[in-house]
Amino acid sequence: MRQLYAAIPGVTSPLSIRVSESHGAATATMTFDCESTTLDIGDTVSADLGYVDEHEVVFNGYVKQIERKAPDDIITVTAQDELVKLADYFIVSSTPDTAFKRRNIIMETLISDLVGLIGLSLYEYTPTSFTIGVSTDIEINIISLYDIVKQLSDIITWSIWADHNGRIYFKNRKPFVMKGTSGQPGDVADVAVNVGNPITDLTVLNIAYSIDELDLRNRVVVYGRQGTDAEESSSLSYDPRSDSDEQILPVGFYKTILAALPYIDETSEAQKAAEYNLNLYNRLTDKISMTMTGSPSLHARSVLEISSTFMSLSGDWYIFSLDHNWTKSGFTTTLELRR
Amino acid sequence: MWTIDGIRIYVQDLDNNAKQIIARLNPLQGGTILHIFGYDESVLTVNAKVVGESNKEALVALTTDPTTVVFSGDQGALNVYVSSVRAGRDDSYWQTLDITQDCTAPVYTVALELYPE
Repeated sequence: MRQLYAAIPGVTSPLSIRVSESHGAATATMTFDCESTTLDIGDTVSADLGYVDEHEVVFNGYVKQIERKAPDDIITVTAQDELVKLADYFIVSSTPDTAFKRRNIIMETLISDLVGLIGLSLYEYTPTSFTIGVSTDIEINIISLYDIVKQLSDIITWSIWADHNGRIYFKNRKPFVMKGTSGQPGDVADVAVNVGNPITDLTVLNIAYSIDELDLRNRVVVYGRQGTDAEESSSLSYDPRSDSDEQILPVGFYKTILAALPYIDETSEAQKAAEYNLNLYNRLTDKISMTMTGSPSLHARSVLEISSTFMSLSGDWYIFSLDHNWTKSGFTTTLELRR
Repeated sequence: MWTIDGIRIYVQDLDNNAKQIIARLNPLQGGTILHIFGYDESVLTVNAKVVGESNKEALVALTTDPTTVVFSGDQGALNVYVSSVRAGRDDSYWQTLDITQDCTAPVYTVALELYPE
């Protein structure tokens, strides 16, 4: 029997807390219900939750919405993490001639310059060895800061995110378990956060497994700036079940994705972008959706070792998304895992 | 002498219900896992007699009072919210319970649900 614990500064006795993180989301989101709070819009907010004998800070961010409901007289507060500043900031130069411009710049430097527009900095990044705007200015104007940073990250299939402590990362983080074999900069073999101590059916409340080819693309075409283009394709696609490349789509059949990347003006960089995107998309997606007893130390974008006898599934799985649900019905963590 | 907000009541029985909030989680293997969320403050259920129409009406009026009132008796006093009052008139024609009321005053059996502050 474990006694639940939760602490949110400025809130007395929270009634329920939900924290959502996802590889595919711009920000992590926390929503909680309470009877009263001293928090106001824009305030910083954090949540430390779990059990009396095991609790951790699972969220840091800013209050974005406060809603009071009758007849229960319950206040619902919604908060988002540090990256919400990027989503909220719209880049518009004072005049069309003074737009943000860079030329011949390494990707991580450009990303760093962009987040620096609002006084933020990258807590951790790895070198991309990828240069854009080699011979033509990159002009960035009339776009949200998050959108442009995401577009740039997508060129090389990297990710930008803020962790539960509000620190910003820009890294080669794919939405699957990385093995360090792609040859890409920053591709380091993942190590499970619970290596040697897998999640078993003893703590899993429900589980489902699926595999699909909905997102599979075995041909990537990149259109860069005038005359700069590249293409990559493969008849074989990666099957995570066998950990090998297999003939999944019919022979000679290609599902294509087009990447229109006006910031690329060198064929060699367009070719790299095509290779990186083929590596990202040319694979089956197998997923585990499961709910387990609450584990406050788990976060999206980390790798988890599991061993489910019930589903005959084991090994390392990437936490694509995660919801911590802390309520009167208990503390549970719902995960979407990908291999 | 038992009173609630100064109104005399004659307690017949008094129940004290307390409850802890425990969630039961059942994993695929192994036994039930219990999570303790907290507890409900105890709820007092009081069955009593009250004499006089005005006393009965005053008790009923407490269910629309958003503030606490004092429930006192031989076990001490505590502040309570009156959650509900159910009153039924007894079949009587001469009362000797409450000497502050007229001998012919009506007698009610009331069921009170009280939430301690």
